[in-house]
Amino acid sequence: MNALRRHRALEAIWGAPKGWRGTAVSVNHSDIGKRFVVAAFVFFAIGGVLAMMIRAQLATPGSAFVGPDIYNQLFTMHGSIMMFLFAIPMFEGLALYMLPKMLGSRDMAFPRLSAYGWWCYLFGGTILIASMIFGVAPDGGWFMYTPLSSKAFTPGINADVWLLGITFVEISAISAAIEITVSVLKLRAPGMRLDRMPLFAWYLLITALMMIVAFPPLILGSILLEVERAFDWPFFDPSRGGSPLLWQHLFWLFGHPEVYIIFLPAAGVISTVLPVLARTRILGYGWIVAALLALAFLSFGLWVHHMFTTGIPHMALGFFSAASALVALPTAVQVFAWIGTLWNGRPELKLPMLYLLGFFVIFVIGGMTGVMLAMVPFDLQAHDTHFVVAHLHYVLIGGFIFPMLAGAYYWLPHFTGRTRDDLLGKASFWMIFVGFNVTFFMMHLTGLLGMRRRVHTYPEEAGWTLLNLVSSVGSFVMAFGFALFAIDVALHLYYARRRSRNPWTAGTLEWAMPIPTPAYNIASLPTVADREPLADAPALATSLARGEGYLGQPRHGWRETMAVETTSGAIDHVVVLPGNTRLPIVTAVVTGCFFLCLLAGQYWLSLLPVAGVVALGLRWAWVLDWRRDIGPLPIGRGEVAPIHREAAGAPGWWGSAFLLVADGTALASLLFGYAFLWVIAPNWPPPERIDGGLMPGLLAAVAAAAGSLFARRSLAASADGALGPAGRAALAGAAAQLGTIVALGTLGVTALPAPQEHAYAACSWALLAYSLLHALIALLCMGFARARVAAGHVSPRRTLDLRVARLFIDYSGATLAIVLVCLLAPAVAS
Amino acid sequence: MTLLARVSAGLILWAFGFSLLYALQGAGCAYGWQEIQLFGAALLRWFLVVTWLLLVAAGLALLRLTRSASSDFERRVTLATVLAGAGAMLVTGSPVALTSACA
Amino acid sequence: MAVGGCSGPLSTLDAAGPAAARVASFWWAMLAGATALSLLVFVLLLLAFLRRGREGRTSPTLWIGGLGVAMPIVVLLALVGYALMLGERIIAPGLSGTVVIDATARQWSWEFSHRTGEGMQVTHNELHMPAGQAVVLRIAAVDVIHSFWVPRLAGKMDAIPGHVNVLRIQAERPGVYDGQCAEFCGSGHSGHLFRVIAHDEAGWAAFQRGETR
Ligand code: HEM
Ligand SMILES: [Cu+2]
Ligand SMILES: [Cu+2]
Repeated sequence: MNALRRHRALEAIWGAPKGWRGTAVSVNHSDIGKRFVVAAFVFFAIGGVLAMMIRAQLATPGSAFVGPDIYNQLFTMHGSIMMFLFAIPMFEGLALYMLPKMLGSRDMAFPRLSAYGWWCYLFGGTILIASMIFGVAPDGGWFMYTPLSSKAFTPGINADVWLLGITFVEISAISAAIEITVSVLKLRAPGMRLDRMPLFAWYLLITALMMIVAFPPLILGSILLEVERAFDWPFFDPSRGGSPLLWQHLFWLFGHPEVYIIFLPAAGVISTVLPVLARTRILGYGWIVAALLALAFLSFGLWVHHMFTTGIPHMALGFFSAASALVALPTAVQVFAWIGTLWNGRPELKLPMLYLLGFFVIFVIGGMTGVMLAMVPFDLQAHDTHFVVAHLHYVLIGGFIFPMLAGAYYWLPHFTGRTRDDLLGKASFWMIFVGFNVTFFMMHLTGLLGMRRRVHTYPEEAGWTLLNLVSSVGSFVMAFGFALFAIDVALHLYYARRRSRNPWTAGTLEWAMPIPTPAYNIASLPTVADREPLADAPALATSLARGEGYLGQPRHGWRETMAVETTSGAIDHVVVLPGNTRLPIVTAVVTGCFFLCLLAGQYWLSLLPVAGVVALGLRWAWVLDWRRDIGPLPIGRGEVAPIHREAAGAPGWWGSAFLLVADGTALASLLFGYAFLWVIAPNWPPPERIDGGLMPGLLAAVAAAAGSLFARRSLAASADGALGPAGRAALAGAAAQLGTIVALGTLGVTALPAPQEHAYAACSWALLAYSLLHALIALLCMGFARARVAAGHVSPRRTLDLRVARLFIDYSGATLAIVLVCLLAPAVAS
Repeated sequence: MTLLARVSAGLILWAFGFSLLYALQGAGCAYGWQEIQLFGAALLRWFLVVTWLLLVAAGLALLRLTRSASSDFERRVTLATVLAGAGAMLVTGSPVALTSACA
Repeated sequence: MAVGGCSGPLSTLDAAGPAAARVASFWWAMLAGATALSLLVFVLLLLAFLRRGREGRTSPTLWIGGLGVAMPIVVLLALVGYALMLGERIIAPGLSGTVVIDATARQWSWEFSHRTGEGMQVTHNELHMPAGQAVVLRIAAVDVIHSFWVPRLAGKMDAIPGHVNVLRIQAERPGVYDGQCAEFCGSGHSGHLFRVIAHDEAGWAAFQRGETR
């Protein structure tokens, strides 16, 4: 087979149909990645227009451009759009597009999940923007503090739009996080050990792991607040044992890691682009990995620095203040690694480098003000003023937008296969850089002079008039700079010279393919023996195109790529990925209907889309057709490997495991909330505690344990080839879960006080609901397993279905035990 | 996967210790351990300081992990993160000795 | 430290009380340090481009171990230590022997209850206190979260429904100081303002007797 025939064959397997049908069904990571990037940029433009309106309003004292009600929507939507609809999706898009290419793979681990995440993002974002057009946009600030966002003070739909819309969008964040984690850990080119991965992959791996732990507290908080608004369960109402501070803890438990989640991918871009433009390798690879790990952990110990003024005792503030200062260290390690790299190389002032220099200047200043704000006494003055607005934009725009712009110019040739001269790009850089500093430097000063954030106007006497005017003028200069950037990119798409490959002579694998890239990325997979595979083997690209690597022979219409052992990079198995399908978009539409039902207050109706999602989810798993044993497959170079469904560490299993980690974090947050309220909130102890319930509790526990045993039996039987007993055991397992559900329901109805009475009762019911939901999931898993066995998808070799089912069932059982202890302890204690 | 667990061990311990100190401080103030005096300081203070020092010591004990590392990369990253974890415990826990617990 | 442009009715740098004054000096010190460190980074960056062509690799130990770890550790430890001590003086005061005033926030006004010899004196949007003496505020809210902030006297403290927070403020000299609600509290947030009137001895005595001035 020659290179062209191979190209055609692979393109037929990996491509999507033309036209809108192709748009709806494509699950290809390059397509989805590019869509994320473009949509995120559109949302950035919308958020930017809102920012311009904010600055127009603040340009003069006593301005009558907009009133407070509109202004509140403006900054709430500006902040929410920038954080949730721009920054996170932008890096998700870059990761989806770039990761497989850098790792020498052909797609992400769960292509349908990428597509589902994309549609959820698009629909959720649309709901938020639509609310703005209808004038019911959220207006409680991007952190939505209760009680202001509770029913009593925001009776309208505005807060619901935020809670439901953002949660809908979060689905895509969690999907992307799981996808990135598993792809980096498993889907790499053979030989790419963990310590040979491009740093960019390390950055994204750690970011994704952080997301898996950081987003669940916010999702949980949003659910609790929505339940309080809809059904009056008083989690945050102090008169009934709730506390507004609980919301702040849950929000910032997410919110602070969030800013590092935004910064790290951008830092990954720097670590990729900067050495190439300095014609050298990065200094201190191992140091940087260690710094990333430290950053990932420390960033979870900072959240209270957003709450220094809430009256928390000084010692607790001290813990978080010290941690907030320490987190500067891993960042300093990176900054000096980058500068040292520049010293070691021969840096050239090309356009991406210009943006990197802009990054250094702005980000260092933002880092300095960050350390200042971490000091409690100073923060007591600066908190909630424009000093903080200045700081946060110095780190977000300096730490995210500038590196991403550098990355944009660096990788544009990769997206388009063209290169262009720098003139317009340089002009836009200077406008953005100067405009930025003029805009935001002034805000440090207005903040210190006492200007609060989130005020729609200020009096002449305050003495901030000139500073604000200058700031507003600067913001328009910056806006023109961004417009110029957009024009430059548009020109690039149409009026630029064609290039075939690797214009920067970079060493990472994404340049080992033709640009723009074909749908399948690479015609065969390389063996990697170096962090920069292209550095020593410039001819690698042609050799791969000739099919000299792994999986160079297209067969059976399969989308094949390699999976490796995580640490060593040794060949593990071949993954056959699912192809184009309408399932993701349909599932996302039905998911959207669920959120719309909730938004409209149609709670009973919302059960319909829930049933739809369940049915679609089962179909999602069912359509993977595994009716045949395959055995070892030839993979080229005279080697063989098993197919993923017959291998131990298949991506599906790992994906489920990480999903459960996220799920467990949500439960941990709920338990934290319960304990927090018990210890801190006013109006405790509750008037009425759990009364009885020991019997149904024990029954539930026994039934769940039986369920776990049956799941094990089913797995063991099918491994021995006894498919009849395996099916029967699965059925018995499902029955056992049904028992759990009934027992739990009985416990709630007979023993728990009504959830509206007190936060104690609300928490107990929430825990109970959590376990009910998981018992239901376990039930579905067992039923599904039984059907798979019956339909011949399971054999002694093909037990993946059962192993995944067992994972969920064991999780459900283990969490049930925790929940029961928490529910029943107050009864035993009293 | 074990590599990731080993290089994170020091930091996981920090996360645990940090949460523990914060929880002890909160519970101690809520349940009045601040009021009970013992050898010239509050019971809560003793409790916190001893816990803190034990956590730092435990963090340093993790240095043993570097001995069994299977590669140079793993050894160096483990060393750095264990030291980072123990150092962070020392610094972020220091308010237990320096500041007032419940006001 | 009165630098020309730093004055203003709400300026944190135009301090009129000990807490605000300490924080203002702290800020100037931090500004100096931050400027020096930023300049160091910028100069190193500049040199990277100027020494182009001069080969010779520099070691990661120097860059990362020295500049990336050792130097920031020293700076950060000093800073955190100082800030904790300053915080102890500002935040964690004894409550004895001082005037206690209840400040209650609502959408959108402030109610101040002064315990005087005559009983309770309640004022709205105007807090009365003696100058030259520490006053303890017990801050609460009845509806949503607000925040009590008089920038020239001290840092802010949130007013949270269901909780009572304590803040100590002091005005060196008699005068009128502007205060504002610092936590976003709905459509009236911009206008959620109040004033602090610090009396001299005679004025305070008069206020306590219920004689409005
Ligand atoms: C394009 C230029 C931008 C300008 C001129 C701008 C301007 C502003 C201003 C003036 C505020 C304060 C509003 C107030 O408190 O009254 C603000 C708030 C905020 N901005 Fe931006 N911004 C820009 C870009 C961004 C970007 C790129 C991000 C994030 C990635 C961002 C995130 C935020 C957030 C989170 C808030 C807080 C919103 C809130 O208080 O609820 N901004 N912005
Ligand atoms: Cu207010
Ligand atoms: Cu307010």
